[in-house]
Amino acid sequence: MKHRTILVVIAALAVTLLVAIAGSKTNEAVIRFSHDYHVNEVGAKCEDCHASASSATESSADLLPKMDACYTCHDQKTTECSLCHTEKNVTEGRYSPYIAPAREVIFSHQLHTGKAKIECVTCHANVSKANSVPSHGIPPMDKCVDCHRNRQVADNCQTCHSQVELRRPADHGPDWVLDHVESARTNAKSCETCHRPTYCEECHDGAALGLSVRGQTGALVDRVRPLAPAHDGKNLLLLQRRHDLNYRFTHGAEVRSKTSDCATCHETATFCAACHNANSSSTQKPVWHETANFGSGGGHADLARKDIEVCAACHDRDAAEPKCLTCHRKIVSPHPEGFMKDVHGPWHDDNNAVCFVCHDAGSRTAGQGFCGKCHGAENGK
Amino acid sequence: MKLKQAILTTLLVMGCASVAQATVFSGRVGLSSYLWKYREADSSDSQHLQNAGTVSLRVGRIGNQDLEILTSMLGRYNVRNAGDNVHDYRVYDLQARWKDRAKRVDLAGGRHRVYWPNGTVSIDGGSAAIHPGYGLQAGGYFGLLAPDDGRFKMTEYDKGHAFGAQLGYHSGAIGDVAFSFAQKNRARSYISSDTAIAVNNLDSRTLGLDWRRTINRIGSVYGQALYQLPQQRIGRVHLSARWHATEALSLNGQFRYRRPDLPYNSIFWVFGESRYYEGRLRADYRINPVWSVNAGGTYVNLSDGSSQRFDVGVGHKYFSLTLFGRAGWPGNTIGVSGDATYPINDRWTLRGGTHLSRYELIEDTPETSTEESAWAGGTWRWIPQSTLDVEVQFVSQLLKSEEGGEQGYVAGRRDLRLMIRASWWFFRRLGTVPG
Repeated sequence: MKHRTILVVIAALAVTLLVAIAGSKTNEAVIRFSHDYHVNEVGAKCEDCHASASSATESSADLLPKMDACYTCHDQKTTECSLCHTEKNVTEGRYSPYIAPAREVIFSHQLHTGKAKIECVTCHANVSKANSVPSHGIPPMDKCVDCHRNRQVADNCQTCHSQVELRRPADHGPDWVLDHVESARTNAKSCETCHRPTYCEECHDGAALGLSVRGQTGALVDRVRPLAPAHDGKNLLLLQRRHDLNYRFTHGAEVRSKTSDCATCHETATFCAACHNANSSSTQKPVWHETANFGSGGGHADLARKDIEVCAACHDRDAAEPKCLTCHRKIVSPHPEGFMKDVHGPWHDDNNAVCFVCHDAGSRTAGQGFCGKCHGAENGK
Repeated sequence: MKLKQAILTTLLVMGCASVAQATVFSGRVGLSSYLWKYREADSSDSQHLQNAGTVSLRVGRIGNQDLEILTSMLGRYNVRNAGDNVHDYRVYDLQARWKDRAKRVDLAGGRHRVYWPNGTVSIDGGSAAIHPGYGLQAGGYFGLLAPDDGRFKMTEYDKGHAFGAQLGYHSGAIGDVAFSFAQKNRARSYISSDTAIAVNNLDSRTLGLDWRRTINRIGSVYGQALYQLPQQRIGRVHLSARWHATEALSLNGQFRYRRPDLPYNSIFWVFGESRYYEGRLRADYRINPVWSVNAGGTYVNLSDGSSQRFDVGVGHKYFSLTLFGRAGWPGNTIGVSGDATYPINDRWTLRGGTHLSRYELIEDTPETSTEESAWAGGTWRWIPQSTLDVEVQFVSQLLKSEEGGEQGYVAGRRDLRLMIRASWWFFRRLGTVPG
């Protein structure tokens, strides 16, 4: 059954991939043109060729000059077609027209060059040096954002993008939730091109998700993940942004397989315990508690050795008695061999060190009690 | 209480004054209702309704300086079946931020979250970042830990505080490198033999090293190491290399090593010496601007056990579909996850998604759970500044119950939920446009 499911899904993916490849197109340059030559050698002005730019109100407007504009300088009778047109561009004996790529950005050249009095080169700085087309003259988004912020103009995504739900930078791949740490930790400034500092908190302030709601029966009900205050993406609920809707059921497997570090966003000492309250009668025990020999038989020790974080999620609660102490305080030492050996730990100077939850500081005398474990009278320490 | 009132009054006055002095006032306001039916463990149903309001404001360019006030808050009101939690609120952020004109100094004060040096923490305090030039940057933060419930109250110093510092350097030859120190103190106590024992509040004290080098068009390498000072051991190592093999194909390899993420003042860190090693390989292939495919595999080695994960996916401009699986000691899982967003036009967008999986929570156990979830909805943007979202969600899973007999399972539980949300953003320039 399981194998059949896998085969069906893989087949579906393969078909989708084939359709995708068959439908893919490339966009190639169709004419020869040097902005560098025309601007710097001939002395042409931007508006000489792009006359309609200053009146265009939409980004999709075709601002490329027509051939008539070229013929204001070039002699139509004597100029060979191949001076500008490439052979790749010939279809059925005719030169096919250049099709401008679709643009969804809300942008008005008229507003920017008119009311805002912005020069063409402010945005298209490198076009005048380009020796071929496309000249890659579209300014990068951080340039737009910088200018908007400096001039105190709206910089919300919706100011320029009509379909915010679909916007996703190329480097924000499928695993971006895990991968973003690499750029965020070393260069968080690049994040601020699109995101306010408060944006990160929506996921990283995961303690917020710990607010639980109890039904009339006293049983915990599903937590309603807060809606993002600064939401402008496609996922309305924080839960969907980071975890799947059914994460309540599947998170056990994810935690145990170390898919992500819960502590990055959640204060595990309080967050996990909000549901996994080991001292509450309404808490459902994890299924592995019901395996044979889980308690005194050592089954729990196997689990703890593999993944102590799972144990701590329920049993390490503030202001509560950890169940482990029942046995581990006096019967079985929890420490591995050589634990904290030769370390000048806090127990030397601090009577509130966590060690004294189990151990008795006593009179702090060599050879006696807790101190005597290392500082025995026989070795004279 | 008087202190709280004084702080609130001061903030209110400052807030009003700052708006009057500001040249930019922008924000986003959201109102939502979430209605859901929940199947309790005893097979009875309960219905819940929660209303929520969110607000995110920015008051900028105060007094013609690069000074701004940012805030981000959430309020919730449980209308139906609230139990003892009728309403609550959360202040995510309430900070003043100042940058000098040359953007060399960046100061923030108030409630905000700091993301460096080692881990993240939300503080009521201050942070500073300085960029003196020559590729150098330095910074630090100090503050009281913001309460976990996000309420507008201050944590006592002894109950929780955090501070840290970072020194970074950037150059074309070596990339970005940063050394950091961070300490977090959070009080905790244990009950032992009916006696409360307050333990030292030192939660963590770490040294960190981050390094990232980007090689144009070829890829990047990243490394991180954390050293836990109290335990005198390396707590975490993360290495990652990305290679853009072609313009369309990107490969990524990662290695992680870490110790369990447990506070130093938890008695749990003294149990054993668990270590996790993780190796991960991933490939992303962009067929064209619309289509892409990806695949990844991970092997995790734990003390006395291991686990494996994989995922294979296809992405499209409007949807993505992923097949994923896990095996090993966390149990076996096989599932499919997909989501789609389709804009009908500039005003209407449809969205939906699903997540299906079968899993066993323990390796080689006979019990297998099946869970399904799906959601569908849409967004209506009737004006560019405002949207109305509607989403229906369905979640289903076999539910464990004592009524289920030896197997422990009863028939599947099914939740149905409805969410409606309206949001509005605004931007007001109150002064003149700078030159």
